[in-house]
Amino acid sequence: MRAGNDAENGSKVSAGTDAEEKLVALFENTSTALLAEKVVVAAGLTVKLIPVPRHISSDCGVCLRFPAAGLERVRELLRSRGLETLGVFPERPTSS
Amino acid sequence: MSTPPMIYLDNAATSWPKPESVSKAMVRFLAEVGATPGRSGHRLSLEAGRIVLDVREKVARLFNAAGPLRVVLTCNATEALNLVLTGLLRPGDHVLATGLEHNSVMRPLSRLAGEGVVVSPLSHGPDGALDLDDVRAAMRGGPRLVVVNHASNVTGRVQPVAEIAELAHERGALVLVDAAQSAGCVPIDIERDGIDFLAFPGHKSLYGPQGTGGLVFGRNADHRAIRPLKTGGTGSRSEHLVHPEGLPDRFEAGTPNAVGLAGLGAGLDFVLAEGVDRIRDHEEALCVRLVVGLSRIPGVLLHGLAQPGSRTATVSFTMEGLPVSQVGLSLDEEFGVLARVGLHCAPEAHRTTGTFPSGTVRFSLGRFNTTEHVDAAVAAVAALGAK
Repeated sequence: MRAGNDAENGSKVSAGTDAEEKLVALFENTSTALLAEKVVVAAGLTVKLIPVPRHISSDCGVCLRFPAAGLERVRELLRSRGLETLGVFPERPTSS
Repeated sequence: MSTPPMIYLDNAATSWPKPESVSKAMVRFLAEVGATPGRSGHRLSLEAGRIVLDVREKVARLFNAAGPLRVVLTCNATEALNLVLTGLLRPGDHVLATGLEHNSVMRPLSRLAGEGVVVSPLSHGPDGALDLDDVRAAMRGGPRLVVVNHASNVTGRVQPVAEIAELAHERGALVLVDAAQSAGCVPIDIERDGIDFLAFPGHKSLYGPQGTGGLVFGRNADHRAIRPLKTGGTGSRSEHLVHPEGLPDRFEAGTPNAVGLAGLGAGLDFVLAEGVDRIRDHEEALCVRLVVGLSRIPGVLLHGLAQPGSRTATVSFTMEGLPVSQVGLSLDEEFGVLARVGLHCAPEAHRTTGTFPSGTVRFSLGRFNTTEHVDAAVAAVAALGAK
């Protein structure tokens, strides 16, 4: 995962600040997103593939949404399978 | 007059019957899923996407690929072969191919030869066997690519792919394996065997429907060296007009045959559950019985026969005094035995075997053939020979 991406996009990504806060991970293509879902679900996490929020990208693909508290676990699982993201972003645009 | 039950011996063309689970999976897909895999983002699209991902994973497992994303899905092996041949080779490139290649390799190579690609055939003994010393010598020309017909659709001969790949890699050549006849009935491990590109059909020994197949990329094979046959929508990076570079999207523009892939998934489940070795043993036992039976019939000539352990269950024969077309017609009409006759889209193979231009009658056995089928086929040929 390219952690630098998150900072470059100006979005604040931190784990555990808000139990309701969801993050989305973007992937290069749909197949990678589906594989990421499979890997993370197999580890017992509750995640959902959703259309990419418009404020992040005009891509017509899907991204993996998960609770912010699960960020490190998701990163670890993806890393273990050699799956890269195009970044992790808040699901909802930040008010600032 | 009662019609005899059909005995299908044309599995080299396409396998039949399929396991019942295959048509069930396809009907289920059409009735309950139906959507474009992955791209639309809603629940049905995601379910369709998961079914397609499953197919990639099963293929990767079957052939020991580095991961499911190294599996590109195509409509058949011909598309996969064309993808590599026309996408990789440039004027001036040198390519080696065996003398047993199918037209799905020879026709693209013929066209490429007209565009400045240098094509050299490897030489075979009259029984179709390759001499590895000859292969080693041929490699000195510094080919870019070596194409290997893993198992002949005419004679069943299986080539020593791992040994050929090793010789190829010593010279920096890439290896494309045509696994049309071997995928699912001959063990293939692309990592162990050193295969850079593996082309396979879904509708033969993987027991999926027609309209499925794929190309598996070896761990170190560079997909960016291959210019895609087609570009278009991939459901990803849509804001870019430039077609994506990464696997598998690079080679999968357009809507796939998702209903077919649902069927292929069930076929793969069948093969993985049975085990390729067990399928091979079943087919080899039947092949031995068939060869013994046919050999005893006066006037029957078997062609290019390889030894057990070096062949698939495909047998080509001719009958003295009977054109192959007549044999095929009589077998079908009088005995219900369904076989293919002629050149089998592999004229080069017949040149190597000495059966060009008249061709052969081909019996090709599959997982669902039985000893009864073999005995009935042998009896039919004997009856024809006695007339």
